[in-house]
Amino acid sequence: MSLYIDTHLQKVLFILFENGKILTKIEKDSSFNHNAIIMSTLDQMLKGNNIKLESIQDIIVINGPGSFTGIRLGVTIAKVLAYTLNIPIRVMSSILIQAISNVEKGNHWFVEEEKNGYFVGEFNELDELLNDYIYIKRSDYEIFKSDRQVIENVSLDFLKIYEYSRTLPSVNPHLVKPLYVKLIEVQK
Amino acid sequence: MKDVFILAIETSCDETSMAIVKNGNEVVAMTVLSQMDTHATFGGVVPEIASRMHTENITIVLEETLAKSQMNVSDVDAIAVTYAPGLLGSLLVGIECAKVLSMVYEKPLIAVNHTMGHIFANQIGNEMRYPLLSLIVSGGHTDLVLMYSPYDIEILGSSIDDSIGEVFDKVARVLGLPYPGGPNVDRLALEGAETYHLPKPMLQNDYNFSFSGLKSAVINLVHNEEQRGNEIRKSDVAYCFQNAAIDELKRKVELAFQKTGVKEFILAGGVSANQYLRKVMSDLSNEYQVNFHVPVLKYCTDNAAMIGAAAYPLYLKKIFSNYELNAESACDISKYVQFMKEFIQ
Repeated sequence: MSLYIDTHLQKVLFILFENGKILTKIEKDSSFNHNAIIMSTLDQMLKGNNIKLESIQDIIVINGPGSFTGIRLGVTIAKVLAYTLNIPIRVMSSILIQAISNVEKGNHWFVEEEKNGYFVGEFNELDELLNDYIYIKRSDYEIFKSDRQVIENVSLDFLKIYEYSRTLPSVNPHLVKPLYVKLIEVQK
Repeated sequence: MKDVFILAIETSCDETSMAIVKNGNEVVAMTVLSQMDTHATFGGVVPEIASRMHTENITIVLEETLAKSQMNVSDVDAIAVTYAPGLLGSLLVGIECAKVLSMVYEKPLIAVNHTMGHIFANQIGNEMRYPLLSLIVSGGHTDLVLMYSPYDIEILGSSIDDSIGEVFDKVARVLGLPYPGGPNVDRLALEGAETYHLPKPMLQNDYNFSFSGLKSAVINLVHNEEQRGNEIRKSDVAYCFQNAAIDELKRKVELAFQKTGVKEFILAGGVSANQYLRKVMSDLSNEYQVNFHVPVLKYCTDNAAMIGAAAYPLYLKKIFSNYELNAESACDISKYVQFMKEFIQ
């Protein structure tokens, strides 16, 4: 069984995959107050389906870009779970999962919107990221979009995302980090 | 009685720390990963960077603590974590880790107030005998409390404006001393002399403290000397400031000795590392034949062992938390005091 954890924006999403299928999925709007609901939501999903933590064989975590606190909390619980249960952990970005889900393949930009702007990344037809992710301020976004193939509002295909995750190497839990992309004031 | 082992987590500011504490007074293992060098380059703690580093280091600190203790999480009786007060983003990392450990190992979760942790640092390798007087001096707090037991506490007085730690840091900044400022003021004051006149903070004869007037006086003194083109004797400013601030603490403690007749006194909080403060309080206690105790230096600054020590009385009364536990950035001990009052009734 694989546990998928995504808390990178205002929602808390857990999915349990078994034999390549979605066994159960739970999604809650946390209004960015992840901490108060994240573990009780996981607990609810496990107990509701009568699943023991020990039956989870690996973890997939979305490590950003997104809300700083959101990705930090998701990554923290994912790495502590992987470390204590001694199971593999795989990391995927919130933009990569869009590229994977998008039906029409080609050279495209995918976006993740946040409060003051957009995280963007360019992918080729093999869903490979071409350069590092960048952050575009809201005021610059229209110009950025005008001469690029930007695909917005991709609806996520979790089965495809799961299949793709099987091709990724697992990471040492100590080394799993959030993907922040945007610089904070003191780093500028 | 069976021994009680508590795994404690502290991430309220810029130290990622975990410890395993036996029976609330013996440290089996402790790890403190300080981020001080990183924050020093910015001249102070940057909250976002602090929480980032907690997330990066959390499992490493866990692994190291378990290795040192030669125990597994399954061997402990409870997981304790600092939930307040502190930097929100930083507290959340520790809380999330504690919740996961509590879930995986099916252990009770104990929410600990950081300030109570500073008090119970005095229990490590020592027996706290009640009733006792405690002076809590830190970056966030200046409180004088009377404890009849871990569950029965009376707050005698608190700072009505800045905390003593804040004022030390501010004075350090005005004097151009590097971060962290407090210890540098302490060091510099050793070479100083009483050459400047600073007003003594003088509140009425109650237990409350006020330091903002003294802070302003130091700022004005330095600015005035600069405007006159006089060279500032930094060590003398540090000396005069430290004397005035610590005299004020001494005055209130002495008042409490006289009025309450208490015979046990403990010092707690980050500023209790201040050498001059330790000496003044030790001398005063001797004069009044009061037993004085202060934690060894490594338990004065932020650490998880003190959180494990403070969690022990909560464990004994089965005061447990749950997965909804949230962080609180500002939370003074009056909330803890009130909770305990209602609990023991």
